[in-house]
Amino acid sequence: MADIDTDIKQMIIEELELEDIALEDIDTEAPLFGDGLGLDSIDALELGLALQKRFNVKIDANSEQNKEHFRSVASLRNFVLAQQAQ
Amino acid sequence: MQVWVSQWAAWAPGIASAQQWSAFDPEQLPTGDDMPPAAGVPAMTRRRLTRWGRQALEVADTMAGALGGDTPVIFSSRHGDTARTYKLLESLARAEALSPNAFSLSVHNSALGLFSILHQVKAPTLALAAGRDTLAAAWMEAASWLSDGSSQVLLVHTEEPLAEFYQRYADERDMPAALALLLTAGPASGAVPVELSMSPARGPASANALSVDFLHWWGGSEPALEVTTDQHSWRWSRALAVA
Repeated sequence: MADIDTDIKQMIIEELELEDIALEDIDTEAPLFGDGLGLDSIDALELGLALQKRFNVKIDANSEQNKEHFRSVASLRNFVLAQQAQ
Repeated sequence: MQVWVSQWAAWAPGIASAQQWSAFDPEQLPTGDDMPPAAGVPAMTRRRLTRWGRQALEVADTMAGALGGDTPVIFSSRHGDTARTYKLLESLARAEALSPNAFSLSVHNSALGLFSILHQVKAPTLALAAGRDTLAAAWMEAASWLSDGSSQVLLVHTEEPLAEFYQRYADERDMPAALALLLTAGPASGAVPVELSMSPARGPASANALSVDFLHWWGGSEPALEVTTDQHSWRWSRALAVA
């Protein structure tokens, strides 16, 4: 699980070009949007695209649960693992 | 029409200060991947910018404090951010999804839009392109606003050489550079009176982009610059700064 957390953090840094942020700066449990890392709605779209490309997961654009899936690195990891188990 | 340049700033790789611009040699255009710090731009916004937008905000930012609530802002660029749009076209050609960030910033007024958001600009803004005449056309636009009652106009020009794929179509020598000019309708202490006039093209066109020739002239000490593009000859002339 630590590996996939690192992969997700790496993906966030690369895809969102967070040039000043290191892996260890991202708290696995902290919110990605708003108060935490401070990402915005364009970042959410960018991340959705990256997740589909790198982890081959399907994201339903209209799902009410997206907000929960995208809350933190931990919730993204749980979402990816659940999708891959299907 | 005469206007006054009350402030200016320009950036190119390795050239930022007035002293460095006075030594600028258009025979040796700057190259390389150097980026301006754009320290005034919040990091979360800065990360999204290519150099084309970043250098525009680098020079424009120095004048943000001087803008009045009614100061029009003009951003000009002949080609825009072609490296970014070319990447998007490549994605389309491969039937891949487009990057939402790249897509949102692929329009000609993207740098201007970010500037207006960062500085809460509510005055009229305009992004323009006019082929080889772009910088002069932007100046004429600014002069029009000044003659129509604006007391000052911010003019920002940013250029990046064409993306590699388009280089074979390049018809002028270009360099990565951005220029900001705060133009005023009347004299102010330290402001330089400048007049721009246009005539049908006489003589051969310059090998350089208009912004290259302008920056060379502006950084130097010649009283006038006459430069021909494809269709027009432009003449900028300046007098001594107001005491």
